[in-house]
Amino acid sequence: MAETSELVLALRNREERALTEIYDRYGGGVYQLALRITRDPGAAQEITLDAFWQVWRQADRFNERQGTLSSWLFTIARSRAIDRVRAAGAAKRVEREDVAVLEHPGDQPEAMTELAERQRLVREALAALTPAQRAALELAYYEGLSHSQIAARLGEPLGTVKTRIRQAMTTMRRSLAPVLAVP
Amino acid sequence: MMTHEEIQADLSLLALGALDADERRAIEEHLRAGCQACERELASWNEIVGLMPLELGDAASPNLKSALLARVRPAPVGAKVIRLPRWVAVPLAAAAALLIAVGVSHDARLRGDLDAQRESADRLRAELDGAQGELKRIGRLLAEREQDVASLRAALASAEESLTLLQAPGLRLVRLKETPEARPAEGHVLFNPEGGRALFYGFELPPVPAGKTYELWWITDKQGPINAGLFHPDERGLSRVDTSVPTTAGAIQAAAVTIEPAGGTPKPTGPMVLLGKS
Repeated sequence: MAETSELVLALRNREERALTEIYDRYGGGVYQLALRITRDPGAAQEITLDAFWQVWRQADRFNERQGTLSSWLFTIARSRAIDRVRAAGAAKRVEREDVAVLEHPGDQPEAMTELAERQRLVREALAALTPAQRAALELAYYEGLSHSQIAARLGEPLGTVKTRIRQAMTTMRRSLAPVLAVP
Repeated sequence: MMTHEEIQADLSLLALGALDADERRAIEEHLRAGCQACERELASWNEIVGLMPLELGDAASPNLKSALLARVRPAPVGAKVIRLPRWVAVPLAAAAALLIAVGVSHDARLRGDLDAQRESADRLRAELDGAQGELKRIGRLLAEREQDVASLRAALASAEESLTLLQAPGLRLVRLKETPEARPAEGHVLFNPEGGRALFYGFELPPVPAGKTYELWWITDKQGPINAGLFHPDERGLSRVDTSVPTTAGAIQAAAVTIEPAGGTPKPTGPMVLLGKS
């Protein structure tokens, strides 16, 4: 099933198979994103369920012109995770080994192959960034800091951080171009 | 006021969530104004940002699919066991215990009320039994009184008849005396030959032996003795016979009382105890 049109239509029709397919594709990634931000496995699970629940209930609000379904889903999960961290004051630090590991369903080989390819490209794109660019992106994305907050955190000029983020995003776009739906 | 170019330069930061609040509001206002170029550009950056968490992988993630499907599926109709968090379950259990305690107390009070009602019902039942007994007693008294009234009415009717006889013209009296064979006794007969009616009263006659009866006779000049009635004295020795005067047997010469076999006889056969000539 294509990611956007058919999948979104099925979601809007409250077809469970659509939700199942989205979860099979991105459930693990959403959980890992929430865990990366909150550092709390329990909170990550709740955020994961809440994010998919929101997508399920608000599928009618999804605007394809503003991005892909997966980017919407990750944006929801990211916002919820950052809000959780801010509400708690600080993320609870846990070791990755403490996270309960379940085998990935893997019942959609083609989709999983495509997803694995995307994962590989994303990792390569991030690896192509300079350490300073990657740090700036991670502080913004995973910790929800604005460029002025990042500058303050790193003790660097505001313009420098802003330029660094722009350059990092441009590099990411170039690296991910093969898999982008929106050129 | 940001220019279109400045806004486009910051769209990647907006997608990343790296803009300050005032910058974000300015761009969002520009987008709401309908800049499609910026909207497409932002969508592209959103997609790139949306791909970023893929670096984290998903191999070490718990499977939440069943929990997710359970959440989106409508709740089944009927009973469902829900595991409540402690902060809900404890107060709920306390409330349930309180309700049970109140229920037990209420039940005990109801039982007390029921016992009192039962005692009251027993008391009323006993009173009813007593009232029914009293009613039966009163009923018996009433029946006795009714019988007395009937007797009095009969006596009154007899007295009225006697009075009528006594008040009628032509009344005649025949005194009866004991015979030499009998114990002392007496009697009299009041009769009116015109009316055909007669009354006999006897005094101090003893009770007759078993199988015997007193029989009153008219002694006529044409037919001799004629049966005028059978009688037994009461416990006081008083006797009364309401009879009639024969009209075809000629003149009444005398009245007599004999002791005869029970049921009486057409003609005297036993001893004569009273005799009175007209």
